[in-house]
Amino acid sequence: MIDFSAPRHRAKFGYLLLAPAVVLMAVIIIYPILLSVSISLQDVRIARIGDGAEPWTLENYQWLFGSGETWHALWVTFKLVAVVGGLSVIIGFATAMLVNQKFRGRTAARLFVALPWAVPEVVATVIWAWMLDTSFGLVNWLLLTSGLVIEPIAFGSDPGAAFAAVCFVMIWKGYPLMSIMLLAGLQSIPEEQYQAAKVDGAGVWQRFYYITLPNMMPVVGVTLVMTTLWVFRDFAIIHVLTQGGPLGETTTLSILTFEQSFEFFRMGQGAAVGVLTMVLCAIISRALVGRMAKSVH
Amino acid sequence: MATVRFDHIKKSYGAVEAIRDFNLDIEDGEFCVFVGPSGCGKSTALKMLAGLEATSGGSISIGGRDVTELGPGKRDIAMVFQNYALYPHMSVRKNIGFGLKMHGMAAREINAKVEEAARVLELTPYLDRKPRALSGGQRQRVALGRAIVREPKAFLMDEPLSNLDAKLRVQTRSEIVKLQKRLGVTTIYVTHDQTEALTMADKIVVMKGGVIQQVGSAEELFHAPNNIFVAGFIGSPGMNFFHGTVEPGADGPVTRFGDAEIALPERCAAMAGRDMIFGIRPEHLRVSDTGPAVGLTLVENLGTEKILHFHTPAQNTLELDSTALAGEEERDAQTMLIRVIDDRRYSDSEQLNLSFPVDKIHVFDPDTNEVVG
Amino acid sequence: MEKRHPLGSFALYTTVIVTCALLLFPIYWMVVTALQPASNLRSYPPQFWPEDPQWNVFADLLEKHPFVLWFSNTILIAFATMILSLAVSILAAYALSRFRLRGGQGLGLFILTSKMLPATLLIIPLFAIFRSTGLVGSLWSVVIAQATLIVPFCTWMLKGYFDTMPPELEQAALVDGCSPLGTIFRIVLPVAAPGLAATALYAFVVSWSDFLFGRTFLTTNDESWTLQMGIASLKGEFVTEWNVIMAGSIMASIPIIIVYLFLERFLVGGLASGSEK
Repeated sequence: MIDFSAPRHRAKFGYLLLAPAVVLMAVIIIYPILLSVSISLQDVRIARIGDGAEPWTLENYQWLFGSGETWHALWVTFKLVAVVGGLSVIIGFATAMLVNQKFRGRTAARLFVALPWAVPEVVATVIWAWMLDTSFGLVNWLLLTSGLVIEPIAFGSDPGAAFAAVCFVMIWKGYPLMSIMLLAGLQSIPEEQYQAAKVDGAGVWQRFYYITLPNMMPVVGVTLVMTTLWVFRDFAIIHVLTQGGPLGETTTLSILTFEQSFEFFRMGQGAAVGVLTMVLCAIISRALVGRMAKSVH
Repeated sequence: MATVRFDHIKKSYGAVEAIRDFNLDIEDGEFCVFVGPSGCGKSTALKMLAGLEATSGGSISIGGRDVTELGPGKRDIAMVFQNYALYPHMSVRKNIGFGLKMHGMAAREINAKVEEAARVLELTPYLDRKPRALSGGQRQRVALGRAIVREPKAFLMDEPLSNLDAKLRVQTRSEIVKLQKRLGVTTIYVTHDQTEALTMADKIVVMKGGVIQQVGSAEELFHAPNNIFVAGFIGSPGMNFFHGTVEPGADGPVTRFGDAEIALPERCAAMAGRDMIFGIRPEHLRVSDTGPAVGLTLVENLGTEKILHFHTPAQNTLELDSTALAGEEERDAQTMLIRVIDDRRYSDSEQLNLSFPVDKIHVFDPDTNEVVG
Repeated sequence: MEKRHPLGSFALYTTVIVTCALLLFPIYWMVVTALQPASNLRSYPPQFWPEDPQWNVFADLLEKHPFVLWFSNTILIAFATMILSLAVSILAAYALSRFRLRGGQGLGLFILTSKMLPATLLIIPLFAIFRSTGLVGSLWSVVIAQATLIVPFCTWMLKGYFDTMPPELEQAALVDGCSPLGTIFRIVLPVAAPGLAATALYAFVVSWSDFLFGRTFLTTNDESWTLQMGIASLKGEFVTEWNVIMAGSIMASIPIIIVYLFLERFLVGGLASGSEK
């Protein structure tokens, strides 16, 4: 038995500790990724391992770039990222600033503000589905009685409204993480900067513009990237709410991947969409990784 | 017998050699202090002794046993850290007894030993508290308790007093020395404070840049430093340095200092014509009636003790960059100090004559930075 | 440090309360809807307060659907995932925090990049792998898949936390005769308890809420269905018993909201310490 406390063997201990994580990720992440790339390059309906290798083909990618579905899914994803990301930042920032103030019950307020994070996606989706129900939903009742619309909005069947419905759910589920991280960011701004500004005569809005915003930019950046990646990846909300419809109006790349693979059983094509999504996510997260890589070691 | 021996110890980080050819013998029961500026390798040497760092070459023996390949827990040593490293989730009692527990001692025995150690260190009322409920000084004693209860072959201490305030530091210093004398355990103590080294150690190891500069008692290092670095490092305020050309004089070698000549030790006769570096401690310079005249620039009045500042004569001022003292920011080669203890009053810009007792002048070779003779 | 708030304290409190009320309204609505008799659901205008709460909707739910089965499956999966993720991440995070390992930087980078993986891509090959190992339909398929995706973030969080602990603690333990593994269990873990709680909370919440893995790997086996799958199945294409589905939603959310309320402060601390570095 090697004595790992001996100075000569200390480093080996480190590698040993790392081993389980490395093995787990190699088997469940690295190997599968390689497998998916190979699946995307084969004409595969249902993926199996250990079968005779199919001939390599670029058919799936031809379909990928040729079919309107992929481009449409890309467009939907992009729209969703913009709306959900933008509004989540605003709500997250506003709530973070609110609970950053000093008042009694502040801790409870922080708890409640971030509560939607703990609600499972399926539950959140189901609640909003009911609130957005065409005939009996609360939202339509509000819109009608306030005179904003004349007819109830068909959140289920109208493509534009369905997209809005997905946005509602995602923003409700998405802003808490923003709020938590932005709050941490706000708290790390040194009080002296605000004091110096006050001494210099800066008012509330000026202090916000010249001190809060610049200090928060890095955190906002990181959180935006994280939210973007989440929107790219999310499956449960859209699948349960609209199944990607109507007419593919809420089909993101992620939904498309699932649809192709497990509803139409064209896994080769599904894998191609997935690979495309992964590449896009990799490019987007380069921003995050660059900044965070310094902190890991 | 708990002797400690470093045999040709080396430590490299990649291409960088942090410690080269470190050789040292420490006697049983000795209080040995490693001292030097930060980055000199003293902590690294201690960590290698503890087994917390691997050696790149050479061997370490404790009590005659080669421990180089053994883990820290098997070397029969105890260590006190700079920030005490007390286990925050355990009571003082458990902290002190942890090492004994790890070595498989029975609970009842552990308890007895812990109580005894607590008694010695006056920690008995705190045994059931957690570290965060203790003051700095108390925490330090718990750290000591954790060490002494193991009855190891050697104590290793890594700057244990640095986190204490000045007054507590002085008080704890003497307590540690008394404790060590009483227990008779070989102790290796690391510090950057030369005062601690001088007051506590039986044997002092001065280090710089990973190399041992000199090993000796406080007396030896103070009166007979081997090189300029040791001469300047030991003693507070530090030794004055100046340079001058050795000239043959009527009664022996002399050199010019300011407007007059001062006598040099006899051995300098062999260096006639050479420019040498000289050192003399502020406490050895004498105010007299004859000798070079200087004008005081500052008088620091501490009561009967006074520190007098004056400008080094231009031709004697040392170019620091070319010596082993390069890089020490606190050293001002253009000012020299005299330390006097008397009832006389001194004032700024007063003119004084100095005498340089010939047996107190240290002579250094400017090329090797080592002492001559 | 008291700041005189520009809004004045009454306005501040009002804003906070109104904001919380608005943001948390859907949760309130879930409870109200669950307790309404089915006929009231179609009332116009909608009732904001259940005048005739039907407490037997829960019994109804349990009768009509294998809710208890779904619940116990979900709990099993969540606990197993939490334990597996914690075990792996603790070791990995400790290794990355305390040792200068070759490839450690690369691994750290990989850990971060795996946060960007679309799970919908991963399920395709995982489906094939699990099929060939007979794990499709078994709860373990979800546990393993979940844990692997959770480990990177947990490792990052824990590493940040371990970095704040001075290594001298473990060095002291080593000198005291503790084994390296022992230092982790006796010293590091107890002291890092808040960080562990945060990580455990995160793993539990993520696992409890999973839908994708369940839907992909467990659909074929009725006995393995999770809560989320069950509730999603209650939303019919044409007709939905909204009160029943809301009752199920309440039961699916309560455990996790409770866990969240107790451990939220650890999560904020964990996120903050991991993100500030």
